Amino acid sequence: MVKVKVKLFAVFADAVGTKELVIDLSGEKVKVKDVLEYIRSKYPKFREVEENVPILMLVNGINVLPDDEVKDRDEVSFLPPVSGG
Amino acid sequence: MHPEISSVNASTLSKEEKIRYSRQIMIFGEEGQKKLKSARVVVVGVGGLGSASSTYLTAAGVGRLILVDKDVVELDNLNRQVLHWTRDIGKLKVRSAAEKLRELNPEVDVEGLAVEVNEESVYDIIKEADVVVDGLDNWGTRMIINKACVELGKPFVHAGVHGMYGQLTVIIPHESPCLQCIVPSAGTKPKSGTFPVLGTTPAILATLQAQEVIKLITGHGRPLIGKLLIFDGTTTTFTTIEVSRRKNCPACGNPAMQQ
Repeated sequence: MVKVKVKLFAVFADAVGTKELVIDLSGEKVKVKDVLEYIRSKYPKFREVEENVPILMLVNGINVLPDDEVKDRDEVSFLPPVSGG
Repeated sequence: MHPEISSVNASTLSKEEKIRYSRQIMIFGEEGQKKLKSARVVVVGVGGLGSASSTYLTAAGVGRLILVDKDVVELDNLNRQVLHWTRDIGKLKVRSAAEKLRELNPEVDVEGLAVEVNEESVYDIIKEADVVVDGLDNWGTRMIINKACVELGKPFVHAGVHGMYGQLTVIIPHESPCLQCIVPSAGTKPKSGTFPVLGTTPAILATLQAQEVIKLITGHGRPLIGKLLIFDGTTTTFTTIEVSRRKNCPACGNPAMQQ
């Protein structure tokens, strides 16, 4: 079991209704994309927002890719870099 | 001056310049002001971000300011693009902006380029720049600028806005992560849609951009290199996170680099 704290920013926080979640994921090797998939399945609005906004993914403050690993007690952040000017 | 910027100092400041800039000379001295006077800054996009950044860069006395935008002023620009006024509707944005900036500070050499930024034109547009400032409204064109800045070794001060949200970072090629490292999932096609935005949001981010440019040029303070500032205007929160270079970044990656 891997317990991670998820921090959500801006429109992702709006979609989920909170800025912070603590989630438990089963399995030995958990990846960032598993965390994303969990949030998508629980919060359909997140998936809607995600279709129009790129995601900046961080694990413990370092930018990562969906296939990177997440360990127990890591902090995963999802931020929407915005593109208007 | 940041080591990446290597323009020659303008040798003197006139009596009027010493008065005009006296309050900021108290911060970084006449030496800093001379560095600003000899700097060439390119602002790409004169919309919400570019209106505010170019105003403060002009007021601060950068020597040469090159504005790039192919669009004309439209009515729905006016809630945020404060360099363009009601009477300017239909006018080229670079013309509308340059007219006011020259009045604000005749010491600054303001030039307007009404050209499209694409993979061919970008090199000519930024080749003279000591610093490039992001005033764009889409990822695709930003990534074109980002790649060219990496190739030519130009510092690039990025900001983006949406609604009451925004972000900011300073990119020093091969030293800090580039825009493609930070936002690998952003689209690369130049596409600007209609996005919600409150005028104050680009003003907040763009004044910070101008401040970062001034820091880079004068060498005063520590620019936001390798860090991303996230602004949430709905809660008035600024969050700064560290960002790293990506080993296989298609824009700046060095396969041999250790992450």
